[in-house]
Amino acid sequence: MSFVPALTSGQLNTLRGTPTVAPTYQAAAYVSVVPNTIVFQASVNQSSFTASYAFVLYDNVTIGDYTLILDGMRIFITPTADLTNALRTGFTGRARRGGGGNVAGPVAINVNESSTAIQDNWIITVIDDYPLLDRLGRQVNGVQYIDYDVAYRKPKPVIYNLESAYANWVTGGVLSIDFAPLAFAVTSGASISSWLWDVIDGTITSGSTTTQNITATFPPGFRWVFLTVTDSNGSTRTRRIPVWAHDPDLYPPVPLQVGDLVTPGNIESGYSATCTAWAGVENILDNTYVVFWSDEQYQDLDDSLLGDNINFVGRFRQSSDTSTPDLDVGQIAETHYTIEGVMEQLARIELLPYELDNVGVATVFFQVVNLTPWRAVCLMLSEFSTFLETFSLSFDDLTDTYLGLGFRTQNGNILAVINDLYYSLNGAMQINPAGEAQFVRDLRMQGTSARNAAPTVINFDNRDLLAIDDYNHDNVRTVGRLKSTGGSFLSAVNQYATFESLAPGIAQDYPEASQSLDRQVLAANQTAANAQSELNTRAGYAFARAQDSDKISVTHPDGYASILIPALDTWYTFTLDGSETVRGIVLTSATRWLLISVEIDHNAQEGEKTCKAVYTIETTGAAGQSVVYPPLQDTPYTVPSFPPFDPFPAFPTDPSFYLPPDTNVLPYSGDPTNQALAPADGNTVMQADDSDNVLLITTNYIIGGLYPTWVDITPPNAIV
Amino acid sequence: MIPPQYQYEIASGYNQATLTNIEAIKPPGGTYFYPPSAYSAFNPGTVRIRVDGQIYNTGFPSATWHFDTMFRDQYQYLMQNYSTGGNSYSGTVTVQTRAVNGSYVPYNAVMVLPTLPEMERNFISFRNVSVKFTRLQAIS
Repeated sequence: MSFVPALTSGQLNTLRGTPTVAPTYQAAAYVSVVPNTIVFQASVNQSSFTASYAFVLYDNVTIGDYTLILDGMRIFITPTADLTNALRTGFTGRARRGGGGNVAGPVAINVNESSTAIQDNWIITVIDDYPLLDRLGRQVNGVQYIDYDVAYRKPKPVIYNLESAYANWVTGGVLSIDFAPLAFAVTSGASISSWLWDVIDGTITSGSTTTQNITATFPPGFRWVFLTVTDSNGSTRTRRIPVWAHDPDLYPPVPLQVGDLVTPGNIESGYSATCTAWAGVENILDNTYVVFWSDEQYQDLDDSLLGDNINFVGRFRQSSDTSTPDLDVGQIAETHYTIEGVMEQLARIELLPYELDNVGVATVFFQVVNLTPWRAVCLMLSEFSTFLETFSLSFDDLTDTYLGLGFRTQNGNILAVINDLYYSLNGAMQINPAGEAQFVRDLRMQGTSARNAAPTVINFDNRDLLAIDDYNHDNVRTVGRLKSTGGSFLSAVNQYATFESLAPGIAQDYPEASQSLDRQVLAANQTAANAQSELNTRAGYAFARAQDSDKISVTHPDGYASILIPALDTWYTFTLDGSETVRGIVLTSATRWLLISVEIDHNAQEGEKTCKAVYTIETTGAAGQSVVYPPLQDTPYTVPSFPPFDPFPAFPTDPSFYLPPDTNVLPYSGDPTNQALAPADGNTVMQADDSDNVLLITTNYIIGGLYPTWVDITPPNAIV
Repeated sequence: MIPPQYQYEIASGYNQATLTNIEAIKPPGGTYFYPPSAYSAFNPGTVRIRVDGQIYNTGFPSATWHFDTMFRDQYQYLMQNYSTGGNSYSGTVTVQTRAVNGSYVPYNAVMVLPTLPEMERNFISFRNVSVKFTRLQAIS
């Protein structure tokens, strides 16, 4: 499912207005913050720690009870109960469900494995928040464990089609939310078997705790809602969903009334945000989960265009203070906060390289039945991070078409690792402002039918633009050749059939630059001809995509922010005549574009948004060609080689070879073996043996040893 | 009391249910408010020009109630009953005022009172008093 659907005529009227209704737009912007309620506090009761630890003993409980600690909750261990700068002064991590199934007990709490130095009597604080953190892997006696002591388990199911946050005003005293989650089993052959909701203080008004879809109402306040999904293997996944129900009097959000919120987003790195400070921000813990949302009105009517009012979800990261001189007030001070988006959080989780194997029966981690890139991505995210407990993840294809013999993951952060896995299918992870992630293949790398099946969100015309900021067109190609390699897995023989392809073919184009498209996973179990054809097609498309293609940068009216989500699986088109573009370029709906980046500036003071977007043109190219190298000779060429030994005589190694010092003394002419008489000054000494007619030399340093090395310098007989 | 001639109404906080006609409000010991003039002071928001040349209004509208005369106790009444804490120059309110098409529309808004130097003093009253309502959000 695409982030943004093709707009209906009614939605277009909402955006553009009609001949009888002038278009207007306004949006109040708000911040909702996880309150970081302390659920448990105690003291460390442990005088020594090993190099790393995965649980902490405690005593002296001052707040709560260990039964309130849930898997994944954020934990601080700090010198005092003051959590200011907690992320810099002590341990910060999460509660860990151990291999035995427990999170905490009467004397100990399981935490994610860490080597951060902590001390006895420091304060353990557990708060009601669920950060995105890593799960370390380790081997003990050849057995692989995850998260310290979790032994092999079948892959957990994955939940999606839920936002990462819900925040809005109550109506009639309650906030009503329709939840329509979807889920899929990762284990081959398994299916989703049950759903279980826990809406805390909410009331389910449609459905029940065990139905997939529910409508629930919530009184003013904040809570985490839980959804647990179980597959037919008994594997479970629990999603935690933050819900803010705001009431103007009982539980108001923070209005963003001063300064701007800027949320840039692009396909590669998702969304991030910067904003100016607001009252009370200084009391918010670093890394606190925050949500920015809007209350939009089109034509003076409350109307969220796509039913989604979330502008950004993320965590506080850092602040910067600026001060500007002013004649009237002296100094104007501003504090700006950077808020880390979902992809940025993922990119801070580092991984070791692993090897995933396709097997018939999986018994250890990294063995996967019917291994495909999407299963590999699920495995990495599920076992090495807490991502799937907080964020939605979906794929454009959940079949076994692209089986692999095995995949080696890259060394680096987990975002790069999973994107590298999907690189083999020409896709990548992308995310929307509400924190929902999906892996999709680039439309520019797919065939005509797939391209035409993708939605075109809107055909922009002159009503949909405030300005064309830039139209970039390169008149020459910049890449002359693209080399591609790939393989089709043959399950009958359990190996890859490998192929190579060149685009634009054997004859290289004139630009010097070349690119590669390696490690392509082709459809499994197909004929060599079909596999080669598939790779040739990809090479051709990739060659076209690699060129410096046309890009258009525009500014849209304010109300368009919600339909501008960078994605590889959604088209936009333009219909503009030559009088409306720079240089008279005519654009028609026959040319499709991908939205690759946006920058939304939410002016909360005025209730406005500035929406800037950059689109890149659809590319397509002729298929590449198979690589047929010239045949090799039966008899290999004989290449001259150097002799295996040095042909030149070697001098005696030091100290056998030694230059005489400047203060030379006369050579000793006596018995060369008389150590007492032989001066060891480095001089060369000579010995002639008349009986054998040989002439020998050495240095008198050597003579000092027991076995001097004499070099035979006897001239040849002819000379003699 | 003369029956109100217009439907300019105000309520403290975001509370449409308690909207009261400004002409029906009489501060203790004082006099009823005179009807304000407001129609010509409705600002529909920031104007943007689309590529097709049409105007697009964006951002919060604002409105101003202009009183030719306002007594001191009336000014104090507005401050005490509609500003934050009863002693400041602004507060969240619900108002009903005339939109650009002349109809009366209820909005949630922020009331901004003028400061004393901004008003023209005339014995125990002020002349030409402008009470602004910003961040107008229509209540649907």
